[in-house]
Amino acid sequence: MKGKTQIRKPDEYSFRKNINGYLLIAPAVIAILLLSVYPLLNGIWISFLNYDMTKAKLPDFGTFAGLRNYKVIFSNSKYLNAVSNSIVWTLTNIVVQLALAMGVALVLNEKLKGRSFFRTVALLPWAIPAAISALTFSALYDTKIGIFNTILIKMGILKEGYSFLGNVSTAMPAVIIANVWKSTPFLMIFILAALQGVSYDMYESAAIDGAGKVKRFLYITLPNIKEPMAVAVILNMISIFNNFNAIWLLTQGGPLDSTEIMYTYAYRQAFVDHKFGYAAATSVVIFIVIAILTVIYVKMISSDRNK
Amino acid sequence: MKKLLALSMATVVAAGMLTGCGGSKPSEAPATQAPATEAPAETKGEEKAAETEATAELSGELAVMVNNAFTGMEDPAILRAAKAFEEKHPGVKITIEGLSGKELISKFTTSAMAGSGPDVVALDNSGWPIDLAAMGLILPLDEQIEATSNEYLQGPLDSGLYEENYYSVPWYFNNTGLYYNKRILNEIGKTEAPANWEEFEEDIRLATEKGYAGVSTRLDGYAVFNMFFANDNPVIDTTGERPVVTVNEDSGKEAFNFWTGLHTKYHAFPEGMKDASDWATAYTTFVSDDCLFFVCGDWAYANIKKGNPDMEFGLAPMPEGKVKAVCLGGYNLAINSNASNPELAWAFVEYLTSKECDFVMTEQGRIPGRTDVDYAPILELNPDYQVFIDEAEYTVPRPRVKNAASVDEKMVDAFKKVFFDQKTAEEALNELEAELNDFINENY
Repeated sequence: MKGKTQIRKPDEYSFRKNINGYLLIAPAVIAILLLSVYPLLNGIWISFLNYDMTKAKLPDFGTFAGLRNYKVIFSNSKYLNAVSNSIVWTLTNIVVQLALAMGVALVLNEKLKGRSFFRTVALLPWAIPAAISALTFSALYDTKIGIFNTILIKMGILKEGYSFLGNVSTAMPAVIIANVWKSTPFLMIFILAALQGVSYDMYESAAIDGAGKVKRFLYITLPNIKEPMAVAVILNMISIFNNFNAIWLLTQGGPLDSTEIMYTYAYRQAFVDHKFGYAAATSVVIFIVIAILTVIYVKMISSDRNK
Repeated sequence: MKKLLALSMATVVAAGMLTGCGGSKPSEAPATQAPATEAPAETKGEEKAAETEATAELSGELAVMVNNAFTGMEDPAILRAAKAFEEKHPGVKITIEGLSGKELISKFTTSAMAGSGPDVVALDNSGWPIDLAAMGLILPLDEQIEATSNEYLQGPLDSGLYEENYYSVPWYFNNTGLYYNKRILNEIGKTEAPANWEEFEEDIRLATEKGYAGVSTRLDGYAVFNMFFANDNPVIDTTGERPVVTVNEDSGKEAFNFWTGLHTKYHAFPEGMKDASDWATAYTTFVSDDCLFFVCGDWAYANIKKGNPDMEFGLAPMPEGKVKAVCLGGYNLAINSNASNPELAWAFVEYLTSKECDFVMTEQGRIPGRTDVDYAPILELNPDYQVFIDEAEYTVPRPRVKNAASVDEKMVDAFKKVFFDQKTAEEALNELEAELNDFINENY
């Protein structure tokens, strides 16, 4: 051992010294291991098994299938359609939500009369339960009594009621609109918090130097809020990609799979077709996408702390 | 490990995370029994006496899961029935939980896979009993059915038949009738509802010429199967060893062309039909008083009356194609493989499906799934229900295949492809045939 430098652990990491702390977090750690990590690992394992529950009595049930489940789902046109829909669903949602959230946050950051009231109202859609929101939008889109059809008919754009959720070309835009309404406040509140951290002095100096509103937004506001905004965008993307309720409650992936995303596809494989192996394989792909987004998010957070 | 599987699948749904599933095989259901043989009358009598004695000593707790149509009202009849059972057997305590159909099947499947769940469950006879039997989650009931004095209707009973064993017993059944708008029917110069497809098409043509919608329903397997059954086509023939797809045979082509032709020739279906996401709301297209016909089951009657009290409507049997046939709907009762006390579970199932408990159904205008039902209370409630009762003798269950919900989806999608002007009837039917053949190859 000669010449080897002994590195002593700092006291603050000592198990003995922190025994009480470790005991306090132990239940949470055990719960996470049991309820998340263990099922997660088993989910990955199942994706490599023959696991069609309606064949549970056959001898090859539960046997190793290699990459068969993945091959089956990747060669299935319905799955590829679900992947494509997931991309459209996530990207359209995030772009529209970001634009709207930015606009609303900028307005609510101004010194307005009744600003607190408007901030509260702007947050309300986010607080409404998904089922209530879905019911509301079903009624709004209704062919007979829906407000959208009523307005469009009165304006002469439509001759008779049109089923927004029931037609292939409009179902996806219709569910995106419903989700934008519900989820934008979450992004808006992040951006608003970031905006409040921007020093007013900078705007004042820029105004004295002759910078207009657009230049002040581009050269002061955006650079100052881009990091918290990026974190919020990643978090929101995870939530949108994972949003099962918004679609299932309104269209259940229909009509003709036009709103089927990977998540609803996985659910259908598991609970309609009872093919848990395929469902697990689909879920592994979903997990990989979310894991990548989560890594980006964690890196952003840690680089933010290091600054 | 089954617990882990259930937990993991719940994780997929609830947390949007990776599906985790247990790696071991689920435990087998009790050994599959050979079909019970007919017992001599005397032996049967002795068995009954012994059974009566045995049920008198019943005790324990029983959890029952049913569709919330039976629990979501004031003083539900099913709770009164359960209370009467408890009074009869003081050692028994029954808990009844009501859930919507979709919640019910996913909750039961998940909990039964986890080795728990309610002892008795109500299952939609559209294929749920067969799926759960194939998964080994419900018990075969052949011996009990053989021994009981309840005389179950064969069609609903067959909807629980899997690999020559019965896994459920009929609780109540339903079928579809043809609701018609009396004002529009008079306006097109008719006094009676159509009796066959020719008259049906003629009425629709006349109504659409006057600017009305011809016919509405919900785009669901329940409605689409009717089209084929009425033309003597079973969609999938399950009488042989292996299911055979028949949907594209001449009778199937004729049926599909007839129904999709109502759209291509007359634009007979209202736009709002595309919105109907469940049967409970499908009636809205009819109560707007501008649609001649509406194909639906008994549950729509009260909704239509309430939805538009001023609208005069009537109810007739489904128009006849080549044969008289309508698709079976309704619920069966089954016993969880994990039931701690299967004897008690069966005693309650037998009681709930007996004449003694017909009031649970008839108070709501539902038709019990037995042959010896006294229909008077139902007809007193609504004389028009005679239509559904008369149709009972030619009510046909869907093809008895595993994952029948997937067949339903394929059938409906084929119809939608024509309804949405994406494919011709021939193209859609060819695709449907190919999809159903793939389905059979994958599942059998």
